[in-house]
Amino acid sequence: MANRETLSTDPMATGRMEHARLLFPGLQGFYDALAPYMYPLFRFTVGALLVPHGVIKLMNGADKFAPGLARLGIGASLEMAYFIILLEIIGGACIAIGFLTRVFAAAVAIEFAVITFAVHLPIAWFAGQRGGEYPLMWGIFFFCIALRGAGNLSVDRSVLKREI
Amino acid sequence: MAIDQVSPNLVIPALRPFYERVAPYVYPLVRVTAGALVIPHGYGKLMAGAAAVAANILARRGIEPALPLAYAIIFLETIGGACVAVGLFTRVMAAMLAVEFAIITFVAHWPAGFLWTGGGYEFPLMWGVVFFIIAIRGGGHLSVDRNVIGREI
Repeated sequence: MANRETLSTDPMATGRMEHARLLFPGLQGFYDALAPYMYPLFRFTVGALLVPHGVIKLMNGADKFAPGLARLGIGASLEMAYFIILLEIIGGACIAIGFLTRVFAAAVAIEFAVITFAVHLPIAWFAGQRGGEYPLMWGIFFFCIALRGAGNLSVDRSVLKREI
Repeated sequence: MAIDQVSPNLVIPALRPFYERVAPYVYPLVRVTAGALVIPHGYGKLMAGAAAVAANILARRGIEPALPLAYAIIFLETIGGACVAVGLFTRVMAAMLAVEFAIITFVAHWPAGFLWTGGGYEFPLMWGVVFFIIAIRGGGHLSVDRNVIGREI
């Protein structure tokens, strides 16, 4: 049992996990069948929900987005606006499919640190008041993906067969 | 598939020890984040009182029986969130929270559209998916279920 426990370090990204003893051992097969899809589901959800943000900013026009960046003291704000729009569209999609996962997740995590601490936490805590809780949670999830990498069912793992 | 701690083929192999060092803490970080951040929501509702929650959040949207559900929501968003955060009765609490967040997503926030800044569904949708994932995966590393009780549902 002690040996089994040493294998149980990462239920998020691995295909299988060692369980604590189950109250209903009959559920083991169900858990094992779904487990390999949980990290891909996490990666897809966290990445894919970012894409509409970039698309909406692009359709509104980068020149409408840039002044907000300038107010934060970000120089070259129009160029940065295009960079962020591209990061949200391409980066979000790449994280969703697990392509260059760590690079994009790390970049977006940094973006979300700025969004959280410079923009939304000063306004409020709760998302209903445009507060920081949502970008904080989302940023932590991107940070988790940057640490954990592509995992199962990803382009990095299944097609490129290598990752950074 | 074997237990693959970290991708077998890294572009920068020197990063492997770092990745292997941090990997065990990623799932606990997800669990703590998803569970702990729900507590302020429950605390606010607890202070407002179940009757106010029932009237202002549930009955207003035609969700009945409003008062018993208000007690359930306050329980889930305080005790339930704390349990998910520390990994106690993880699957049960996370599954109930996932159901609650499905209703929040599709009944309460769906009509407001996608963007969270306009009260849209993206935030409860993400949160609910993560509770679903936790309900399937269970307590995992650094949880009361795994490390103290030694068994889980």
